Amino acid sequence: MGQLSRQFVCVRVQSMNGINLDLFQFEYDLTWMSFFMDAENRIYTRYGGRDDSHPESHLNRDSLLATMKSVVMLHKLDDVIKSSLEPNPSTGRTGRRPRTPEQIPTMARMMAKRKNKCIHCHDVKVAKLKHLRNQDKLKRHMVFTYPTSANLGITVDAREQALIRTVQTGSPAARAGIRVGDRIVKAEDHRVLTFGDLSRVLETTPAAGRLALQVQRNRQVIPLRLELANGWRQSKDPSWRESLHMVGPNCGLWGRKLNVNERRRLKLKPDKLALKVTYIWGPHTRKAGIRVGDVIVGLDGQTRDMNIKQLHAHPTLNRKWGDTIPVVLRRSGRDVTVRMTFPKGPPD
Amino acid sequence: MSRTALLAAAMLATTAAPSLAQSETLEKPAAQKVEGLISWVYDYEQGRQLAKRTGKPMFVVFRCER
Repeated sequence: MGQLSRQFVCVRVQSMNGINLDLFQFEYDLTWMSFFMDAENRIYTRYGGRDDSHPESHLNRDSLLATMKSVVMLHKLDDVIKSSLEPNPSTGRTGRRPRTPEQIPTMARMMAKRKNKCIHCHDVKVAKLKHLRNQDKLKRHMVFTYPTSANLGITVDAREQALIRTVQTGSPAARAGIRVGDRIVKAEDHRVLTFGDLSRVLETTPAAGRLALQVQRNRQVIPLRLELANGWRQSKDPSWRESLHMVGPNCGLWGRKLNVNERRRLKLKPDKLALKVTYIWGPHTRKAGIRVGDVIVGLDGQTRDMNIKQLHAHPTLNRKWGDTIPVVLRRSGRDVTVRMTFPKGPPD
Repeated sequence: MSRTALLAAAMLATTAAPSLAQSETLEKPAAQKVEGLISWVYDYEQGRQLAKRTGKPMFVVFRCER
């Protein structure tokens, strides 16, 4: 890694302050993302991104080294060939001043409360969503940015990230004829080397429509067209997204999952909801009568095992501000049902 | 107000960071150096200039470390 890295100028951006948002467009809910570029702001490839399962689902040493080697080769091509390979050199050259996070109208107010004035990646998305909310334009589906290969019904190899490992029966990918072992070459007109490259193209793909893919199969490049129905951008478990709280109410508490022994003592099954309340910050939560030490075993009819982020995600995605939901608590060995009414609107 | 306090107030008035509306960019927090195999540059524009001079491609990582 060290030797290969010396063939690059390695830049580590630790805050989004002053960053050109026209150039660096990515999933701002992420905690790690990278770009391979030249000095003219041309992007060779994006490396990073995650699926719902794990923050590092597609970050590993082998794929990073392979990507770095590919970039070294691409960088050696002459400018004419390079420009033909890069149909979308990202802006910064459009004549107008590039956008920065500080220009998002809601950012100043958000940062006023923060001591070190460090704008985090997720702050950019939250500020954008807040701005939309202030204009009454915010819709729940807007939190589902940068869809991944899973939204097409495929999984790609964690190391060789253009190689298709699984195809889900009945999915858009299966219906288009994609097979296990195919290698994605292009999405629309964009070269795909990595999980992050595909995700970037998917971000610009309409809410319902078509996606053109070229795959390599037995030394042949085959053009395919995927039909994407409404809702294809949504994923099953978006609870990891820092910006999720912007689109709906939450439970106003922190908690932790009970361990095996604690569950046994309370006669709670391992696959069932069992979250011990450790901290309450929502006035609506206190008003419902929920206390620190209570164990939540049911929320709005949901009893499946969940972590605290998944618990919040349920009302955020399924309930409206002002709704009332039942919460079942295991308290002193007995089940108690309380009713929690969410605030009429989001906090300022 | 004492002379020292006046002087301090005057210095503050001239050195305080401009408001967001004036500057359009919040002051960038100081870089937190990361030790390891990779030698990092902590400013994008500085990195771009270095890439121009050396002819190397850039590897730009976004990672909050605060």
